[in-house]
Amino acid sequence: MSKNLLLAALGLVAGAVILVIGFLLFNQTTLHGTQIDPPKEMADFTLTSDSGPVRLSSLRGKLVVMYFGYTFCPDICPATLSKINQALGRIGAEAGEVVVVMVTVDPERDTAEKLGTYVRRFNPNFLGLTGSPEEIAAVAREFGIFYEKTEVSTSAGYLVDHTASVLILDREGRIALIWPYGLETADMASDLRTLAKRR
Amino acid sequence: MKRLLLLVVLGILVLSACATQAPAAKVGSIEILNPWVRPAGADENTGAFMVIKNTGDQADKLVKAEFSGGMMTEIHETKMVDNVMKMAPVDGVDIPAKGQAELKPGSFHVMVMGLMKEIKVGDKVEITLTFEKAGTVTVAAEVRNP
Repeated sequence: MSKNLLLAALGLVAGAVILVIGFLLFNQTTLHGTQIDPPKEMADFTLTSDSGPVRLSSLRGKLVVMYFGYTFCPDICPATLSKINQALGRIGAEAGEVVVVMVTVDPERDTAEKLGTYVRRFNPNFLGLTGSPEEIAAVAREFGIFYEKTEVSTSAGYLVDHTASVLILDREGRIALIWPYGLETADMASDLRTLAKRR
Repeated sequence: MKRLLLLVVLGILVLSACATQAPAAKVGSIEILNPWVRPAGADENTGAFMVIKNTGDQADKLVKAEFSGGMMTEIHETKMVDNVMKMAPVDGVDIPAKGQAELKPGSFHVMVMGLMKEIKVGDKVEITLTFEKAGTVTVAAEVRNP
């Protein structure tokens, strides 16, 4: 009687262990955020960095992590760039397969130089892109990013509301994944590893 | 000799226990805990964050923040509305009686505009906070990443 119970209990434990391991393995290769399947082709663009014009298609071959923000932002944008940088730190050598780009939603205040200095504070390899208000508007529209200048009565002048999601482009320059704001660094790192494996 | 050593060790333990719970600053019933500021460059903006505890029976409100190392300092709130991040200046942050308010990334924060010079991780900066009831207090905030 008790022997059967013991066997049953062991069986349950073994089953539970298998389930947990399976879940963990599955979770590691499961992507977080919104997966775009099949990945979406995006129109090419050329914007300006502090080392000259940058064409999006020239970044193909690597994963592109794209964030739309602005340097006047003291909270969300530094938080996001900091997290992305930490995620890169976690994936070791594979960080070389990833290009991080911040496109400004505040082209009036964010010059190429200002942007470059700002993004490189988080990581010397980060790229900051700006352009004319029309060029930025076209790119944001293409990538489904909303942004809006909001005048304030204080000395801040104006602030810019914006979609805080992070877009991940695969090696062919197609949108493959969208991370929501606030995604944990561990999840970001896991996703980058998974996508980096896809060739 | 052994007894003395034991007393010293105990003393250090007690003191360090007190240190971890001690607020960074206090004024009236208001306590400021764990104040920190993001590192940023000259002419850039940054945010200051902290936990504000109200041990008193009356609600209070943080109405002003000042930092001499920046051109302008305001209190702002970040809110996510329909997947869009919005930030706006607010006239203050309510601190409920026998409660607390948290200034943290993605929520309320002290916004410093136009830093006079770069602030780096490890630096300490002084921020002056004014509360409607408790009055004014200056707190030393650590420059660090979250």
